[in-house]
This record gives sequence, structure tokens and C-alpha cells, in this order.
Amino acid sequence: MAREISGDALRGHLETMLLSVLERGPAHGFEILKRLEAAGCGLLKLREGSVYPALYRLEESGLVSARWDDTSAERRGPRRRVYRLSQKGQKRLMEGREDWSQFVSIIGGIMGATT
Amino acid sequence: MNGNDHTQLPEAVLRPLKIQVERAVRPVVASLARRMRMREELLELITRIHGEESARHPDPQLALEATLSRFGNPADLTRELQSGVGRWERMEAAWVMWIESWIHCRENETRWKHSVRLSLLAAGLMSSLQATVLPLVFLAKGMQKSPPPVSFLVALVAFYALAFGGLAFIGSHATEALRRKGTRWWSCPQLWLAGVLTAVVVQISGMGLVLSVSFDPTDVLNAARHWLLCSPVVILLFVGVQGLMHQEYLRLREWIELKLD
Repeated sequence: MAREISGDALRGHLETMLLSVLERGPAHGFEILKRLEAAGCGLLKLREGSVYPALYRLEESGLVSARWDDTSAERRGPRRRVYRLSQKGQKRLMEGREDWSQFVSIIGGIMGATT
Repeated sequence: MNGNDHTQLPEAVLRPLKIQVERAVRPVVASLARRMRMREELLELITRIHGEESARHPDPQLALEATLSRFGNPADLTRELQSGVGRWERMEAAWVMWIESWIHCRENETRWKHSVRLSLLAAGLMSSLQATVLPLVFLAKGMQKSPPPVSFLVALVAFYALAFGGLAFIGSHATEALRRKGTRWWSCPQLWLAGVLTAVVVQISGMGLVLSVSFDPTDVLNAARHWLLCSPVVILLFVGVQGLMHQEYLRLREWIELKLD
């Protein structure tokens, strides 16, 4: 039976994963979480609050851009921001994917796992 | 119930969620705008999580526990949120937060104690400033050959301390009156009265400053006329600044009044 992936195992990968789910289109925080959850087949266990600090770091680095959702005014409740992958973010995502492939290939080879 | 609509949640449910958000955000050293944004986004998230957990657990206590667990440890979140704040913003915010810690009413501090503390603070700052500035003014004016008597200088510094201490007292009471008034802050009579008193103090202080460098009655009368013309601007400025601060308070009230114990 597959084990859940959480905590330390995700450290260092969260930001690339966020860029990856934003590649499918702009989204607000909760939707990003839902996309991650769906992509992780229910085995990805995130502390959900930690998605926002990661999004803020990505925004600070110019890898994503964000703006308040105009439709927030039409519904009740807190406002929300929609995050969008920037060109710089797209480039970083490509690099992240290459790094990951290399990592899996090397570590997988050492561990004798199928890559 | 729509899980993402926090305005429909009963206060008993919403409050612990907001407290959890505030536990994470309050210690973050960042600009007010950034912290407000963090609060809004994290509240949106936690109410949505709560919506899901309420559908899963009929017991509200279990739903709340599951929500808090999914949201994460506030101390960890604080660290992560802090890591996204730039160095300059952090330094600027640390400075502002330090000043605020002196100005804002402390826990268990009565209104009167708060006003008196602010008055003493203003009096101390103003007397130190004047004790430094006045000798420089005399030097700049070349009055070192016939300086005014020391007793006059002491009286002047004491006057400034008293005047600005009094202003701080009036200001803090006007702020309190505004808070009771709510959103219609411009119709608060105490605010306008405090504005007029401020203009009077500024007028007298300005004349005192002129008197400290020239004993010529014509100079003093001219200065009085100029300061009088400035009075409406001083009043409007005072009321405007107080109004802006009040608007900000109204925006933040639901968060800053939360007790985190």
C-alpha cells in the first residue's frame, strides 16, 4: 500500500510543485491546494497553511504574479487573490523539472530503483 | 452552509478560526498592508477547510480540531510567512511596530493611564527636542553675545513639554471618542474640539519660538498673524490625520482586538 508523502519529504519541492500546478492556469490558494491534492492522488499531505508563505516567496521572486479577484466583491466573505505563473516562473519550472529528472536518475541509480 | 462564506459562520465558529490565523500573522514583522493581506487569504483558506471538515464531521469540536490540524502549527506558519518578507520591509516594519508598542493602549491599561502615559511621553520627547534645538537657534541667530536669561529658556522648554503633553492627552481622548462614534468620525465634536485646541497650542508655541529669538513686539505680532492664518490648516490636518488613523483602526479592529490566550 502506498504511503503518504508529507513534511520533510516535501521540503524543497513545494515551490516547484506550486509552479507546476499554476502552469495549468491561474488559481487562488484553495484551488491550488485542490489541484495539488488531486495530482497527488490523496497521498500528498501538506500543512495547508504553508502554501501561502510559499506563494508569497514565489511572488517576491517574481516567479508568480498575483492580483485580487474582481469577483470577490460580488460574493460575501474574505477577498482572495488569484496567482498566475510569470515568464520567469515558467523558466524556473523548466529548470526545476530538469533538476528533478537528474536527481531521480542519480539517486534512483544509487538506490537501485527503476527510474 | 457554504463552507467558504465566513460571514455566514456563527461567531462561535469563526472566532477560533480567526484566532488561529492571527496567531500566525500577528508576530510577523511586515508592513500593515502585507499582514492584512495574509490575514484575508489565510482566513479564506481556513474557512474553506472548515467547510470541508464540517461536512465530514457532524461533531463541531471534531470539525474544528481537524481544521486546525490541516491548517498547520501557527508558530511554523509565522516562520514561513516571515521568510517571504524582504529585509528593508522587515526593518521598516520593526521600527513602526516598536513605536506602536509605545503608543498603543497596553493590556489591562485604563484609558486614563494610557492618556497620562502618552502625555508624559510627548512631554519628554518635546522637552528633549527643544532643549537641543533652542541653543542651536540662538547660535544660528548670532545671539550668543546677549542670550536670553536661562530662566526664560527653562520656562519655554517647560511650556512646550506641557503644551505637547496636553495635546497628546487631548488626542488620545479624541481617539477614544472616535472609536465610540464608529464610522461617522467627521461628526465627532470631540475631534473638532481637539483640532481647535491643537491649533491654539501650535499658535502659542510658534509665538513662543519667535519670542525666544526676538523680543521685538512687531516681530511677535507679525508671527502671531502668520500663525493665525495657519490655524484652519492645522485644524483640518489634525482632523484628517485622526480620521485616516481611525479608518485604519476600523479596518483592523476585528483582528487587533482578538485575544490570543
